[in-house]
Amino acid sequence: MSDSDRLMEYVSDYIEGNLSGDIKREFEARLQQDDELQLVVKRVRLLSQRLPAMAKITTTEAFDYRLQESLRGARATSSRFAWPELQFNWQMPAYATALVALLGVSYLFFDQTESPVINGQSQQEMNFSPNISGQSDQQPAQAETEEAEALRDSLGNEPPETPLKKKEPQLVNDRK
Amino acid sequence: MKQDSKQVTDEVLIARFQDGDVQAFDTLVRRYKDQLLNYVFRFVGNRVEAEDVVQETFLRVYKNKHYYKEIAKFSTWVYTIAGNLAKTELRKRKRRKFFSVSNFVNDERDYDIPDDARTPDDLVDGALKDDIIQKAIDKLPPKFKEVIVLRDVQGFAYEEISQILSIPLGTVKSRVNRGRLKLQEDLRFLMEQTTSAGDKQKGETAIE
Repeated sequence: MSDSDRLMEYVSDYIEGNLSGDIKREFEARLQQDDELQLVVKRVRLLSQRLPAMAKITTTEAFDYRLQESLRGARATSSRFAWPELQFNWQMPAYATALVALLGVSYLFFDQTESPVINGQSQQEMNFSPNISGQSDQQPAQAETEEAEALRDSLGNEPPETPLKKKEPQLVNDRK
Repeated sequence: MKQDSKQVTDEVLIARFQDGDVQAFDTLVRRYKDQLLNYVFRFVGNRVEAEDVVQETFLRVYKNKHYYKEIAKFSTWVYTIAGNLAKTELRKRKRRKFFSVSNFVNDERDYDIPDDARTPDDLVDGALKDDIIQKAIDKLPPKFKEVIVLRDVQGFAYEEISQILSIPLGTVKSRVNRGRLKLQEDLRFLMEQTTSAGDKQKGETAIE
């Protein structure tokens, strides 16, 4: 970069009176020798005085009217669509959670008193004990009848009058 | 009330507007509409676009009043909004120009101001016409144009330009200088006419 180009950076500072010290002395010394620099300084000084003097553009009545309409529309919009300020309330979700939990616990609690249903029969109806269940009682009776028939066939006689029974243990009263 | 509106500062007015005083906003509009239009027009070079930008600026001030904080001057804030909208408008124009049909026709060329134009119409009473200067301003790159308009046309201080554009002070000064150098280069032949005419009449540089 030549000296002239470097000093071009200081043209505005010079014409605005912001140069001082050594750089100002150097600039002025160069200015006296360099015709191009002189012309540039002259033209920039002219411009800095001419530009502020340019005619000022002003608004018209049509502009003012259009602006009023725009602002009126903005005001109407802001008042019409006034969204309510939603304030986040921690209590609402807490209450909802508590209610759901209560319902869940209640359901589990009341549901435990009912017996599960298996194959259309409730647990109360189903009995696995052979003494109570009708189905299990029938099987030994059928077994006895089949045994009696088998015995009759083997003997060829009339069936015995009394079916075969297991000997029951003696009760306390019999001992007496 | 006129006297009252003159004495009240912009910052007080915007504070009142933030509290719901719509008339304070109207006062601010009256204070700034002309100077903003002048600024934006000199920046974008088109009156219709400039009016649209200024309309949008005031709408944004109205809708976003609570975004203004007292850490900066109101003028800084409103000029920042207007400047950003103006730059957006220039970018849109650039895109429109890129996709215009004329770009595909080799015969057509964008008209360029010849540097050595010496027509009488360029000067009025030995002074450069505003529209000639405006055309030269329009040719400047946006980063030079905005500082030249703010500094030399609107008369802002370097410090305030630095705040409006959010660039360092040194950068503002550098861009102003380079913008001026570019402008005088584009207008040198016309300016030589004005200076030579002035020298003949008065024996010194003509300043109109």
